[in-house]
Amino acid sequence: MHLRTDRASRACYRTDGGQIVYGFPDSVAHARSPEDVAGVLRNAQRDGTPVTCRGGGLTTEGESVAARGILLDLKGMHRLIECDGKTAWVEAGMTWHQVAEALRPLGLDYTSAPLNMLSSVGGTLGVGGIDVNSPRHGCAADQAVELEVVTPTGEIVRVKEGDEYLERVLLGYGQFGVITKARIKVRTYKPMTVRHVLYTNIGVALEDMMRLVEQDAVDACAILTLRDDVIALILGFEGEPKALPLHDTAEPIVYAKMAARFALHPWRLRDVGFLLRRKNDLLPALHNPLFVRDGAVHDRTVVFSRLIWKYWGGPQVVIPDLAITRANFEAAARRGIEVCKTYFPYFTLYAVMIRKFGDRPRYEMSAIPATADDHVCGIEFSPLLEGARYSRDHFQRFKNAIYDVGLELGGSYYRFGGVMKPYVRRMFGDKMVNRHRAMKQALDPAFILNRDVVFDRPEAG
Amino acid sequence: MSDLNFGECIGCGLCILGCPAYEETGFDLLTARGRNKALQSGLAAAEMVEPIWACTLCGYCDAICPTHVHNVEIVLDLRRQLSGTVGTTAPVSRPLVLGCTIRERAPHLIPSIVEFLRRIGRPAGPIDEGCCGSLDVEAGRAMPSRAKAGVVADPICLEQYDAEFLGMLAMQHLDLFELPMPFYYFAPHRIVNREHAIAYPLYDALRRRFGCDMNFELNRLARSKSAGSVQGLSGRDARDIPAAVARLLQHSRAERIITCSPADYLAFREYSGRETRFITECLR
Repeated sequence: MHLRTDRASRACYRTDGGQIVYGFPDSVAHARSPEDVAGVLRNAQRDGTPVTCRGGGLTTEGESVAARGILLDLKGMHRLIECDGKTAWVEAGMTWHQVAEALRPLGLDYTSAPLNMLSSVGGTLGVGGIDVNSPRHGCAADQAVELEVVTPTGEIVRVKEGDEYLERVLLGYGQFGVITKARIKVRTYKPMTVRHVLYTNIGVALEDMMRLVEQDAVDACAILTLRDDVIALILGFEGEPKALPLHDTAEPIVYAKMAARFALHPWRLRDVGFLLRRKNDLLPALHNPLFVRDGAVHDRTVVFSRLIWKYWGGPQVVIPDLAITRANFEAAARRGIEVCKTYFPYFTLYAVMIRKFGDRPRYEMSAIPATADDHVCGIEFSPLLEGARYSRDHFQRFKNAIYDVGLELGGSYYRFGGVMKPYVRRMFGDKMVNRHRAMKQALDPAFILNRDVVFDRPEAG
Repeated sequence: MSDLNFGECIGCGLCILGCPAYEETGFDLLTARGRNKALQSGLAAAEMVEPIWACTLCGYCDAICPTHVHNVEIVLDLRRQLSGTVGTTAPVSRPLVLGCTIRERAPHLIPSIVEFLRRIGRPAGPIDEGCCGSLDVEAGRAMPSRAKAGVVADPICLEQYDAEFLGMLAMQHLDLFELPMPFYYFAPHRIVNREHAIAYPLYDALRRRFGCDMNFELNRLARSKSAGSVQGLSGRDARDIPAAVARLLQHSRAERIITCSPADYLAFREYSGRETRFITECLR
C-alpha cells in the first residue's frame, strides 16, 4: 500500500464529479489488496480517524470528498481475476470501462452498469447503478452474486447471495463495509441498434415507455428531453429493430409545433440555438462511424459514457433525481419540470425504469423505493448551464425543491448522501434510519467509514 | 498562459483510461485529471515534479478530453518552468529524418527504409545527422521550433518537423509488404492519438484487412508503453516498460510483433520474447 501525504497527492482529490463540495484529506492511501484496506480500517478504528472511500470519484454531493482523515483510493485494485462465462470475479476498484476492456476479448460484456463507465464497481454496487437495460436487468447492484468485503473493523469476509451481510453492503452507500471484490453476472457481448422517436407530451412518452417495459418489448429504453420542448424515447435493440406500436409524434410535426410556439413567443427564439447545439452534441455521437457498423453501435457503453460528459458535463454538475412509483411517474416528471423552469433556462430530464427482484432487504433505505410494482421509475433533472455560473445556494435551493416533490409523492432518491443528507430522515423516517444507524454502529463502533455521508454520528444524533 | 486551460478540466476522468502512468501506478495524481486538479488548487510546478515527469506525452488525454484541455501543452509548459533556462533548437531540414534511435540503436533498419522510400518514389537522402532537439523540447529545456522535412521515420521527431510520417506512408502502400499472420501491430500511439482523424482510419484498415491484434482500446485510441518518450529514450524516470509490454500483449496470441515506431520496436524486441519486426523489414 502507498500512503501519500504530499500536498499534490491530496489536492487531486479536492472535489468529486459534482464539483460543488471541496475538501482536503490529511493523507491518501492507495490500496492494492484487501489486506491494505483492512490495515487502514483497523488503524482508523483504533485512532478514530475518518476514512473516505473513493473509486471513480464521480459522486455529485461530496460523498467521496474527504474534508480530513484518510482518503482511501481503491482504484489500484483493478484486475479481472476469473471469468467462467456467466460470472466474473473482479476487483472492486475496476472501473466499468476496465471491466468492459477485460471482458471484450472473451466476447462478453457486463450485464448492467452505470452509463458513466468511469464509475468503479465497488462504488456502483454501493449505490445502485442504472443502465438503459435496467428495465430488464435491474440495477448494477442486482448483478452481484458474491462479494469480498472488508468490515469497518478490518475483517475480510466473503459473502454470497442469501447472506444477510451481503444485503447490507449492496446499496448500503459504503456505510457497512468496503467492497473489495465482486462476482458479477456477465453476458454475451452484442452491438446495439439505437433508434429514437419524439413526443410533444411527456405523459404520453412515459406511458409508452412503461408499456414497452411491461411487455419486455425492447432490449433497452430511456427518455431524454431538452427542456420539455423535445422529448425523445430512445430504444435499443440487440438484434434487428422491431416496429413497435407507439404514440409518438412525427418529427416534422414536432418541429412545426415548435416553430409555431416560438413564433408566438419570439423572446424564446434564443432557445433555438440551445436546441440545435444540444442536438448537434447528441446525434453525431450516436452515429460516429468509429463506433457504428452495419447500423449498429459497437461498444455503446463507451459511446454513451463519452456522450454523458459532452452533454451533461461542466464545471458544476448537479443532478437531483427522484426514484418513484409508476403511479406517480408522470406527476413527478411534470412537477420536476416546473421546478427546473423556475431555476434554470435550460435543463434536461433523463427517465428510466429499473426492474425490481422481489422485496430484497437491500432495497430498504435505498434508491429502490418500497412498492409492489415489478419496476420502479427514476428521473434525473439536470440543469444545462450553457456557460452560466450559479452559486452553491442556488443549486441547493433547486435540489431541495426537486427533493420536496419526492417527499410529497413518496419514493426515494439516488443521491441522498453528502450534502443531501438532511433528506434521509425526512424520506425514510426516524424509525428506519435509527435501525440502520444502529446496524452501522454495531459494525463500525468508531463511525470511521464514510462518516457523515448518510448517518449522523451518535454524539451528534 | 492563456492556452494552458487546466481550469477547463471538469474531473470526468476519461483521461485516466489510457494513461500509461496511471496503468502502471494507479495514482490519480500522475494523470491529466490529477495534475489539473492540483493546478486548480494553486500548486506550483515545484510542488508537482513527479506528476510533471510522469507524463509520456502520448496524447491520449488530449484526444479524449470532452472539454479540450491542452494537457500536453500544459505538461511541456510546467517542464519549462521546472527547467528554468530554456533554449532554442534548430532542426535541419532534410528529405529524410531517421532520428537518433534508428541511427544510433537500430542502423540495420536504414537499408529497408531507404528501399521502401525508393519504391514509392520518395527521395531518401541525404539523411539527418545530429539530434533534431525533440528530447530537449520534451524535457522542457527548449522551445519547439518547426522545420520542414520530407519524411520522418520516428514519431518523436515529428515534434520538430512538419513532414510525412514513414509509418503512415507504409499504411498507404500495404501491398508492398508481406505481413505473415498472426501478428500484433503496435500503432504509433502519439500519431494515432494526436492525428486521430487521419491516422486511426489508416491503422484500423490494417486491422480489418489482416485481423491482427493492435494496441487500440475501446475508445478507438492507442495505448502506449512509454518507450518512445523522453523518459524511455533518456532513461530518466522511465516507466516500467517490460510491464507495459506484458500488459499490451496479455490477450494476444500473435507470434510476431510489427511496428513503425523505432523505440517501441526495440522495446518489444527486448522484452516481448516474440519475433519483432520494423514495418520496412516486411517489404516483399
